[in-house]
Amino acid sequence: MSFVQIEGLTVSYGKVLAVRGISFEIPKGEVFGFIGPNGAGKSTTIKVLATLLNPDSGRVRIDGIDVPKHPMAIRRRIGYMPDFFGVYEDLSASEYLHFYAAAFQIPRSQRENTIGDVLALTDLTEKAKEPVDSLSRGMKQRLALARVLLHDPDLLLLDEPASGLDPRARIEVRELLKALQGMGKTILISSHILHELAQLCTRIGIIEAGQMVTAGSLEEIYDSLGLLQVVHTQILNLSDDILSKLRATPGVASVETQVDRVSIQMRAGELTAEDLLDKIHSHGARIRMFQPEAMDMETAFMKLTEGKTA
Amino acid sequence: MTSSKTNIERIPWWRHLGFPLLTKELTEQANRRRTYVVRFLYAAVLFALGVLAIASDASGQVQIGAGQEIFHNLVHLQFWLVLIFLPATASGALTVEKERDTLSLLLITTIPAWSIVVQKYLSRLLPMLSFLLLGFPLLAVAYSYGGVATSELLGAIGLLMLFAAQVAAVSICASAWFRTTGEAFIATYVILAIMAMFRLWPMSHVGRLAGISNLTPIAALQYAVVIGVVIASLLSMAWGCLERRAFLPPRNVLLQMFRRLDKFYEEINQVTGGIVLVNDGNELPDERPIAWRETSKKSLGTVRYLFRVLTVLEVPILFVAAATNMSMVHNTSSVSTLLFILWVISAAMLCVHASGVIASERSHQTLDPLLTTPLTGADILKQKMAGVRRLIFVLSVPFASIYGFQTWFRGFDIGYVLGSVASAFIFLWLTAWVALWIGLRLSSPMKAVLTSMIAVVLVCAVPLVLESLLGRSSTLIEFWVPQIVGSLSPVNIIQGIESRGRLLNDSHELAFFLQLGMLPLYGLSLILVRGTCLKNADTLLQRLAEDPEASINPRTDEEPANADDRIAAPEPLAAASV
Repeated sequence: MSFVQIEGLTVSYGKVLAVRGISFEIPKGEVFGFIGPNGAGKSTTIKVLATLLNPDSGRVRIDGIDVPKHPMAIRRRIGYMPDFFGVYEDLSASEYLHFYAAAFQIPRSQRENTIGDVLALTDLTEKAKEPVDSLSRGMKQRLALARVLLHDPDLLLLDEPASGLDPRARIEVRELLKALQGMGKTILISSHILHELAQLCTRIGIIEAGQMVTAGSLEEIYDSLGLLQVVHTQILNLSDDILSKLRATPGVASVETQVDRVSIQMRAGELTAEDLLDKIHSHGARIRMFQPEAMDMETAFMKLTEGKTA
Repeated sequence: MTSSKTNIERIPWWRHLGFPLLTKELTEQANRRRTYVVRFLYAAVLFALGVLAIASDASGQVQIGAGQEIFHNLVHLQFWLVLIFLPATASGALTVEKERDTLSLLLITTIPAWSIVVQKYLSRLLPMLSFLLLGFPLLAVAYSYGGVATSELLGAIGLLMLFAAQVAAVSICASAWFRTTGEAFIATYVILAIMAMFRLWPMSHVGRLAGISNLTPIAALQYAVVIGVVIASLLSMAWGCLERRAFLPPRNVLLQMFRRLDKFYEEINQVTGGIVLVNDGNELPDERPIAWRETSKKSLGTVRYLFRVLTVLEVPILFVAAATNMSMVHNTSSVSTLLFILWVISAAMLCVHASGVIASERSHQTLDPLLTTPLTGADILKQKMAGVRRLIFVLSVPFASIYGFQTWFRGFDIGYVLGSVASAFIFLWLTAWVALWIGLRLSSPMKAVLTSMIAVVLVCAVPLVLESLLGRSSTLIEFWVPQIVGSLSPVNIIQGIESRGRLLNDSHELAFFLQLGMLPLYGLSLILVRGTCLKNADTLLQRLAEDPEASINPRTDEEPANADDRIAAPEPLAAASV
């Protein structure tokens, strides 16, 4: 049974219908990427899961528990990180974590160890005594992640965790999320940075104007759209014979020779990058470079959405 | 770059009189529902009080010459409405642009800074002038009763318009100088108070409206020129500082003030060798983290600051009490005056503190993470009120001192002691909970503080105004109705209790018991407001409340309950997983 289940969720703000009957599921331990333009309904959906908004209709469950009926039980199971890190300018990083450890009713005897662990995990041990408002934006985001981990929740709800961060901080956050994924956490993450989600997420959902456009694994979405994956390769003994054999390989859509490389477009459902590498070898080619491009999520996103808002 | 700049410089000044910003501002205001709500409120207040004034003064029959008093009351009312409404709308004219980071976009357009200031000024002044027009029919009614000279009518209209122009100019000047609307709003009233002290405003003429009719045209012109120069100077100052203060970084003025105060006290404390009387307690939170932050980290919650507040409030009381005791002051009315000042200060402090506890979390966007913790809504509110509780405890000390001194000077009176203690307890807590409730419903701390203060003023003033208006019409209304209505005002209740020891005759005894009888009404209000806040805490905090009809077991029926459900005790993050 899926850890998160949403069926026909509808949420409105007054007369504005922000979410219009969306449904999706997240199995336990998966990282679900929530993609959509501004105003699509991502944050609203996350807020419903975080027990901050009451849905107009639909069923929302986490770990089999009905969210609107048992918000208190849900709060112990989730860690929610909003898209903006509000600062308690009067607290240090350590005090901030102690504050939330007490709010999550972690026994006092365990707090010091738990806080030490999350600070180490987020690489903030040296900043423990620093005032929160003196930390950089990247550090604040890591501190927010440390906060959501305090009570060891099963589900992390992360609303735009990498927005506004510089490249280094973004990579740090991404690595941290990978570590959390390794720890078996179920993660729902919304983001605009599509290629980063592609590297991190096991499943994605694309939402537009309050409606789910598509949901599934990346491969399923690319297959359904008939998208091609590009592999760049350098072949030392490139010849017409090798090129014609490549073009005849099942699953290869086209082969294009460029000044320094050969770009092969293949249908992801029919041929994997590993199989292609074996095939090129079997054609007698000597390979200097073999570089599959990350799946082109931007193309998928543009193809599936029209830029509408709720 | 140079050529574009040259092009801008070549645009003649009169080309900037198209006022596109003014057009945009007025269109925006016309599209806002709030504009019509405020206009309706203004008209409703004006006409309700105006009709009451006319009805009570005319006493059901037309009295020739009765128009003058009605006229004076109406003009007074308009002045006060300008003073209340205009700073609220005009002090945000430029600060809102700064807060939204849109002032820079305005400054890079071809509209010069002086024109931005003038257009913003007019965008706030013109709607106010249209508000003033609403009152003219009432003035005409008063004029028709007689007793008002035509020159007096015209003079009053001129003064009203001049006053609106001046208040708007002060607000725009403050708005150009300060970073936030709150700072600009407070500064507007401070500047106006200073001007009032130097009689540099038309309102000083309201008290002697009759004198306006005696003003020669030249004297009136001279006066208008003086106020005009003041307005022009204020707008020039706004123009001068608009660009220089366009990109001020956000700052917490209160926090900075307290830090400066800290530094000052630390320097002074060097004289005593650094004695620490009170230590600010727990370094880390126990089981009540919000209460911990409110009482050990917030400026108005810590023992250190509260002790200073207590010192500032207590010293004058002790001084006056000592002077009274030594017969330097011959009656106890000076102590009573101190009591009223203490009430005003206490109400203001409670409004600021209690209305901001939730509203400031919302504005800093720190509330949502807090709401996803397993603390109940009622618990969050109770813990948030921990700092307020401390403040009330500290404020109780000077109240107790005053009541103690009064009892000492006048002799023991159980009615006075019970009444004063009950009034202090009920009104202080009621102010705090009403302010908290208002703070829960508004997202901006500044709006919450102002609304709380306005609520307190209204509760105190409305029964007094009604008592005054109803009292003039003894033929229309029974004589005891105004007295009962007036007794509803906390001002009358406190005054009644305070005068208890001094004026004991039958009529005062009756008034005292009438006013004391209103206290349980406010006590009931306190219980209701507190109960509403705690009962609907989750909804007011804007998060999901536990469904009372849901089964005890949070698991659904399809899935059997899990024996090792971790709802009761969250496990710490395993070190191994790190």
